[in-house]
Amino acid sequence: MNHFLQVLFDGLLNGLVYALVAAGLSMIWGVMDVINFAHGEFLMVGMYVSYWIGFFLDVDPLFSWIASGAFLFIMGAATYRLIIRNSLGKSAMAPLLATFGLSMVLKNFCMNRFTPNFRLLSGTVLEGKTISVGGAILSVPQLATAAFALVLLACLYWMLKRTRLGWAIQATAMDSEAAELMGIRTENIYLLVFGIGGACVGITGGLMTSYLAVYPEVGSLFSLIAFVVVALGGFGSIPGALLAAIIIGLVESFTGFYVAAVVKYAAVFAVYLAVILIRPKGLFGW
Amino acid sequence: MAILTVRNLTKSFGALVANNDISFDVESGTIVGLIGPNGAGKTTLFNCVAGLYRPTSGRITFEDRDITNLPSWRIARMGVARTFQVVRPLKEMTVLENILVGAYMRTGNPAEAMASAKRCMEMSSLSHYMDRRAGGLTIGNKKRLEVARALATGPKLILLDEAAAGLTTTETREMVELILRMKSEGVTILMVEHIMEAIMPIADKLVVLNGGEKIIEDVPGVVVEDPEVIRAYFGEKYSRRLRKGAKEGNDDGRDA
Amino acid sequence: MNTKKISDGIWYLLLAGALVLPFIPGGIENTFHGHVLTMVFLYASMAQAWNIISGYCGQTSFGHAVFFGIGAYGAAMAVVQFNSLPWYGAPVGALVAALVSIPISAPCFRLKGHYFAIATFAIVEIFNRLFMIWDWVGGAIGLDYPILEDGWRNFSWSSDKTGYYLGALFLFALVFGVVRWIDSHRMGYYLRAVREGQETAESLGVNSSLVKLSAMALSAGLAGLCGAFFAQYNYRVDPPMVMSLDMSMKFVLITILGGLGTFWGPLLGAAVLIPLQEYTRAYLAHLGSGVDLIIFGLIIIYTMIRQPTGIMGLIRGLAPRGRDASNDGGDR
Repeated sequence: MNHFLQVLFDGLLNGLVYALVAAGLSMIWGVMDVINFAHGEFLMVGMYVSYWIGFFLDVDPLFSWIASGAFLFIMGAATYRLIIRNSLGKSAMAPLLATFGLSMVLKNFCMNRFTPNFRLLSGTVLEGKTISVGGAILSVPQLATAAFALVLLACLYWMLKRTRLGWAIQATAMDSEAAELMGIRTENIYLLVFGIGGACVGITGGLMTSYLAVYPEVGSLFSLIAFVVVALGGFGSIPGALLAAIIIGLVESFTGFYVAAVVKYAAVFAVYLAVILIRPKGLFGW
Repeated sequence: MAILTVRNLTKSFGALVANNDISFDVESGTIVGLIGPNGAGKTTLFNCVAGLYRPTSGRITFEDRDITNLPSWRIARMGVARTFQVVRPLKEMTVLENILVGAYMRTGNPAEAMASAKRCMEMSSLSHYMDRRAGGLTIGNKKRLEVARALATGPKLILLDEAAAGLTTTETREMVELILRMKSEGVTILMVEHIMEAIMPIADKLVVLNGGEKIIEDVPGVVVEDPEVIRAYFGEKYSRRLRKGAKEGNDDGRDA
Repeated sequence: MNTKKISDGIWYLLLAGALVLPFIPGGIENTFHGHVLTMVFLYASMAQAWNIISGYCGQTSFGHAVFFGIGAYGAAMAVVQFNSLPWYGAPVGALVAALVSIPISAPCFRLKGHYFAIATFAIVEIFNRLFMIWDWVGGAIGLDYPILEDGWRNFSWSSDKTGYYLGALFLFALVFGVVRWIDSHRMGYYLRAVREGQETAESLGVNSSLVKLSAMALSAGLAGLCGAFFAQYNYRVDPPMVMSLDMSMKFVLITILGGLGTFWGPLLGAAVLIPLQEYTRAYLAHLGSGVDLIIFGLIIIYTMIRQPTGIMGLIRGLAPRGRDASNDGGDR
């Protein structure tokens, strides 16, 4: 029973983090119908930013997420300006492949500069702290990241549903030409959405350095999981992404514990395939 | 003898009934016009016959064989070709390649397919545009391409969905000539048409739909006299004019 | 018709030239560019196999590493586990790849756009993990070839690698030959018709599901053969080496760089990217790891921004604008 609770909590916490990673991707997909293949590498860059700030300036990830979030906001916006805008509309695959090229560049740049070694910050405020809930032991850094993810997701959702900016983003997603005619500067919306998408992973990555090692390949798996979460939730839907991320997190932790650690991702992708074949546009897709 | 029979065909989309209990026949070797105001259910009916939609109920037979629930490619192979109201060229392929796709339905031999495609291309006066990208053609040529491609499948029955809509007067005349040429080669034609001067002189029979129901099925002369048709579709004025001088002023009718 | 004659001419000239090359001293033997040429032919073949379903038929698959991998395991299993010859393993692997592709892709074809792409990503990951834990095929360690006698019988050479070169050339001639044949026959027209408009194709008697499935099976089978060659060439196989997303993407990128859905595209793409990668890896090694892949990535980005139709698009743009290039007045 203790195991069960432990596995359940692990899955939930991971799921919440996945949800925030996926939310950025989902927004970009929903608004522009573009898959940002470098999304996982953005996460990796966010982790490195936070790691180096922690390493050289002794700033705790609890604070440096602001910097990594801002850095990735700029990087996301720059990616839109320099790559996406120029490849959009040329062919369906162009933005996806261009961002794949970007992911290769980022990953191998970090490999080249920072070596493939795993790097983990030591001496962080929350390091090693745990709390016990009904016999399950939860790591505080992970709990903090998950709680943060939940708050940020709520903010994002509120922004989309309740602010003028959010309405403008939604209008652009539905029909960019009509939105343009209504006086919305869709170009700016795209830029902003890419920035926000970057900031989401920047913040998550920043926080994650308090409990996860950073290395050049760390983003690859998160990329794939984020794709699956978004497709499972239905693109553009934040509640969909949250639900899908929790499902994925739980499937991962339960198969990882009760079957075998190696097959957990096979199970994750198999569950995704099974659902997507029944609901081709995801749980919340339209 | 009827080559195509439609019996009690009903097609509904949720609460909307697009076709309600429609029955009619298309006799072999004739031109049958399917007319009616916008939203009368003509294209839906076409899509049911061509196998793109599954009818909610009713029965469609072609050459005495039930084709009601067959997939569209199977219906095409039995000898029912169609054109689309909104033209659908295979954009990145050339005009000749578009027609070849149709021609390959009857033969796997490249030389035979090429010969048959070229014949259809000439018949529809597209030879000049042979190597053009189909996506870059004018609307008139795209409409012709729709017909040529359908013709290349060697059909016994061809369904033309507004083949003359959006064409200039000259182009419309050419399209009518093409349709008559197909008829003379023994192809049966069922056509949806809005442009009256395209259909009135050539149709052997008209089937009139309104609000998803069939109003009448008869020769053009009788149909234009039918009070219900006049009320539903033509309007009093046009039909009076049509009765007066059937052929004198083609262009007058356009604004009706 | 004229372009077809030019294409024919280039094709036979290329085959003849490539066949003569090993007989010129210093042409292939044991040189580094012998290795590079072998890789060019292998990746061109693989990209062309992928091009059948994704370029001609328009169903962009990111899952072809799976079929490539199954073929590689086919050859390796025959040699390592059964002490048999790769000549039996390769066709079996190709056949299994083709058979596996059908139940996998049939449901995925219902998915549209990015949903299809992501489903194919997921399939690669599933196969990768399953092969990792499948002991019979060597699990995560993979299969290492024993020491074998050089020659065609074992399809393995340790000193003079001309045999591999000829093998890759044969593979190239086979895959490109198949596509050439398809291109000028009914299948080729049907593939492109399905890509351009499925409902339209069906209205012309094309059974689009059958066309897509048979294209996928053919594509997967040929990919399997390429994989078998890859295992023979590397003397080993393990899951990340053959069944990875990076491998899948390589086929995609080569084809796109060369020209998607064109006959020459896969060869042109491979002829540019593979030497670039091999030579930068060899000569820029002092700059540290990953430089070759950074350059690779930059080229992809640049291509997608400036020339998404690839090298073929560039060539067509250079050619004098013939009748076929222009519109006849456009839409009104």
